Amino acid sequence: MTRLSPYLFVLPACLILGLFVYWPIVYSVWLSVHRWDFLMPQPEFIGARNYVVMLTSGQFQNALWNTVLFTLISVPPTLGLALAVAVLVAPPTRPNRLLRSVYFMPTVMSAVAIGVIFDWMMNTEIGTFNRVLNALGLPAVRWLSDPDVALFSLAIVEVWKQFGYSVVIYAAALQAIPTALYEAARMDGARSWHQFRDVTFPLVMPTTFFLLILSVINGFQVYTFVEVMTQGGPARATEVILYYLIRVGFDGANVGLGSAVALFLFALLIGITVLKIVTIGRKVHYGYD
Amino acid sequence: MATIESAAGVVVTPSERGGMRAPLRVLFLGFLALVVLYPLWEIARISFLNPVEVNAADARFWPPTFRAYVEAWTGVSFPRYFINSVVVTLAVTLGSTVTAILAAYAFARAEFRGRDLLFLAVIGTLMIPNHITLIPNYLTFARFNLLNTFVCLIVPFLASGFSVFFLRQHMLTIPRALDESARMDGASTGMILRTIIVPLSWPAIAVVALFAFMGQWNEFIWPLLATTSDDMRTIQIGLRYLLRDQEGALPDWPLVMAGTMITLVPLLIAYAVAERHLIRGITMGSFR
Repeated sequence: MTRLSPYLFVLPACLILGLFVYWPIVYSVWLSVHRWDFLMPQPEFIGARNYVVMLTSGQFQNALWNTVLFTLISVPPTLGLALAVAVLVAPPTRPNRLLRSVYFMPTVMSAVAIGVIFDWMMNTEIGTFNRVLNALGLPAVRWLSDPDVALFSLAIVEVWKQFGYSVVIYAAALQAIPTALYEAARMDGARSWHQFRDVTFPLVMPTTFFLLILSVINGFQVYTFVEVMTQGGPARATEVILYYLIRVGFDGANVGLGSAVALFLFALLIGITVLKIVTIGRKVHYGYD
Repeated sequence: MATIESAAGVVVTPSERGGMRAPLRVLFLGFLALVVLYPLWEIARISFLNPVEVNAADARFWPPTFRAYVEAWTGVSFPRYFINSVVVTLAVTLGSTVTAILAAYAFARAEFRGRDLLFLAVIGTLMIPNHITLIPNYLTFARFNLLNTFVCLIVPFLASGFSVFFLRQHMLTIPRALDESARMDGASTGMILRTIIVPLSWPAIAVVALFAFMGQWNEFIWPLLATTSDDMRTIQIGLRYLLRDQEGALPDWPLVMAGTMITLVPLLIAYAVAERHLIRGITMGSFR
């Protein structure tokens, strides 16, 4: 290659990413210290006031709490279920491969389509969920219209969509565990549960940690299910950070406050990612080589 | 990653991993598969019903009514949403794949000042969540009066850090001796890319294109925010409004489900065809 040509080759990709990924971060910082709705001709510099407004706003705190709660109730079941399933479908036999690809399918479906179908199934009067409860002789639940239940209902949908991804990742990690370790464990008289506890579980720890971080990051950015199924309701019980951001920044046209919220969420997620890099870089890997 | 690959293929039976008894296992896994598949069945079943039948517990979809599909296709909006999505998805798939091939080639083969820093910046985008870009990008396109255009739906997605990374990793495995001997024979850089690198990278290129296709077809937040005129909506937005366009109005469930089927079918076909490659891409991404 000539001296210039490498730059020409990377230019299109770098230009797009610079313009639409990196520049927005800078622009967000600038916006977050200004007051601006689309009616004002000029943004007005107001220093940290957007951040103060954000942190003291009851609606923001509610959104933050809902996001944390959603993550707390959706991530552990996802990973637990995924590990249990992965242990069973890890051997690459034909039926196992088929099962894995069935479990994985929801991850390629659009969140809107999933939201639509669960909106139907969670319908109070005619939905599948209540029909099942009914058949079991249990009382109906207002899955999406009861403020105490709605966030849990969305978490169910999240688990349904996401667990197959973790199954696939876990299965790959399990296949990498040397058979010799299981043979040794058996020789020491370890029954299946002990094999899981003493061999499988510790050895997939790095994978668990990877998936944990990834799922938390995912959970913090939940939006589409909320938009499609509950619009943040009832009574803001499912209003998560990203929904709040868009309601304030777009519907409310308060781009300064919206940017402050975006940066807050961004800082939070970068913090989690850095935590992952620092810890994975060091101890979490149980080496066996 | 190396350990994963070297040990992959080692077959360990479930009992060796601490599994359960076979009948219980089959029951558990089968039930779970049913839980995953049932919603798809519901979509299909309801899409063949008449609106009045939906509320009846004993509604039967056989013989099927195609009313919902006919109505979706003969309506004003839905075909338009579909076409918009096809245009945007194809443009993004093609465009982002091409920019990724070019960049990955340079990152894998050329030595140039600032290369490592630039590459770091490219894969750094994988860590940057896209919510941060929503407001600034909206304002940028608004300033240039480009909201509600194909430009604003397509251009921000014309490059992907993942695609560049994935293709570069693949290209690094192609022996350098191949392009060096071609260069000795007088081949130009562009010719080496076209005749050696690209043909040998087809599987990886297919993975990257598939990811772009699926991601873009499913894209929701950006088109929701960046389009306000009905004729620029994409199919996911259309689906969302099919479900609930006015507050309080009850959805026409068969129509909604027919719409959902139409958005899902291209995706499920792609998935059925390329599921293995897709999963390979996913697992590779996770061990970087």
